[in-house]
Amino acid sequence: MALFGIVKAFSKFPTKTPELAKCQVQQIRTKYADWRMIKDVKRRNTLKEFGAERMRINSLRKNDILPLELKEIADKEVIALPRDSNYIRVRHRCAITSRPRGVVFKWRLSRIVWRNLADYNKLSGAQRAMW
Amino acid sequence: MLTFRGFSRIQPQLKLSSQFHKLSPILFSNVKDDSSSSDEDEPKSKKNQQAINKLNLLLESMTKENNMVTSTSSIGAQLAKPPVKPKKQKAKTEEPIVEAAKKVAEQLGGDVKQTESELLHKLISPTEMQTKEGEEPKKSINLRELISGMKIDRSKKLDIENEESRAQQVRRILGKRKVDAIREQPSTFRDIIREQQSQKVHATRSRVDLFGGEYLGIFKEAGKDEKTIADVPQLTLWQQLEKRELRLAITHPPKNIYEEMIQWTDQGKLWHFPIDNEQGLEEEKQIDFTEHIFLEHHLDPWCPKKGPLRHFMELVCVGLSKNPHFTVQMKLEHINWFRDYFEDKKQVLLDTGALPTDTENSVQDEKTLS
Repeated sequence: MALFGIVKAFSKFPTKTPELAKCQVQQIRTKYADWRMIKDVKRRNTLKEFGAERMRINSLRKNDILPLELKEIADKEVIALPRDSNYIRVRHRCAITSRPRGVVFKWRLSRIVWRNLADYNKLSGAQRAMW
Repeated sequence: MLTFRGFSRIQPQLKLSSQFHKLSPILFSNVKDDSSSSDEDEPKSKKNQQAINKLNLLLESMTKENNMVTSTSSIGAQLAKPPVKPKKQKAKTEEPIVEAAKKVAEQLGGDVKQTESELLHKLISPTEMQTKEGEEPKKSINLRELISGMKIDRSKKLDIENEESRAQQVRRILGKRKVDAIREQPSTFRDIIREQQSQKVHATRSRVDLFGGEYLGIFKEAGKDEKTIADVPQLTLWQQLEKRELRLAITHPPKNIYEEMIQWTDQGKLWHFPIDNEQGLEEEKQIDFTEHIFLEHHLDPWCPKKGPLRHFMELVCVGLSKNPHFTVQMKLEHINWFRDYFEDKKQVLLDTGALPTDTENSVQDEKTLS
């Protein structure tokens, strides 16, 4: 299985721990593929915490019905919230390889990984198109 | 007499060699002297003297030899020696000592004869012990004297070895049968020994009665102190694993794919047939669609009936009603958040005029109270 992220981890591990530099036999499934993935995870966590509040305050800002004073206050409040609480900052990366582009959204996998798994019949209902 | 050639081989180990080297010119001087001497009278006297000298030297060397042989570094020490027999001690029959020993033994009690013999030996032997200090210290108890005092135990013991439980008997017989069928006769020495060992009557356990013996009273009765129960460390992981093992012992793995698929369906890994798209959304099914759509009644308690605030909240409600992903609780939470927010910003709203003035508010409050 050409799982790039795990293969990378595979090669990294022996060098990090010199005592175990002999041979890594098992796949490491407990680590994130790379640091960008970790940062994305952190962003998602803050989004979980403050995302709803941000959205609601924004809804107060983005209308012409409510008084301006309220909008100004809302502006200030939004700025006070953490930046990572914004949904737009989240990047839907591949869950296995952390590929930022070419991600099949429903499966959260990059197209390459998706193709691989589909060929091995691991994706329910995913079939080769033929018509 | 060892030949010179032989001696040269074992030279480094023996100290004899050095002596013999010194002696050799004198000992083998016959040859030289014979050749050198011419006169008959003179050589005779010389010969005699020489012979006497030689003899003396030999005697000396022999006496020294004994000492040399006994040295530990030499080969002689490594050769087999006859065993050194201990000389029999003539026990002086000193009556007062003997009597005293008897009295003491009687007073002490127990095995009178043994104690007596031990005492006597101790009294007598210390003199010998002092002389031979270089050697290994002898044991104070003389086994012969001890055993002479003891009697042979002829009481009938339970021959534990011969007892066999029925299960073991059966097993043995069956095992033997199998072995006889498969194995050949023992050919090698090892096989014979193995057979003999296996034929030895199997050590069995006689019926053990755990609670039949006397109560020793060494330990306090556990379980009475509450502290001790609390202090006992619990091996939680072990207990968990034991439980798991029991569970696994009961549960059997699926025999075929059908059983496996049944298992998966029960676990929720497999779709239930006939396929229903709303599988897993049973709770949502029970909630009526009207609750999702008609949300204005949630605004009534707090929101003014007219004004920008109402306008805004009605839009919010419309948006929520069109949202299929939120649950009713989430929608309610959304509305309540706005309520709380406007409560905080009440002053601002009043100043701006978004909220109606006090008179209208009071009218509303009356209505809510009623």
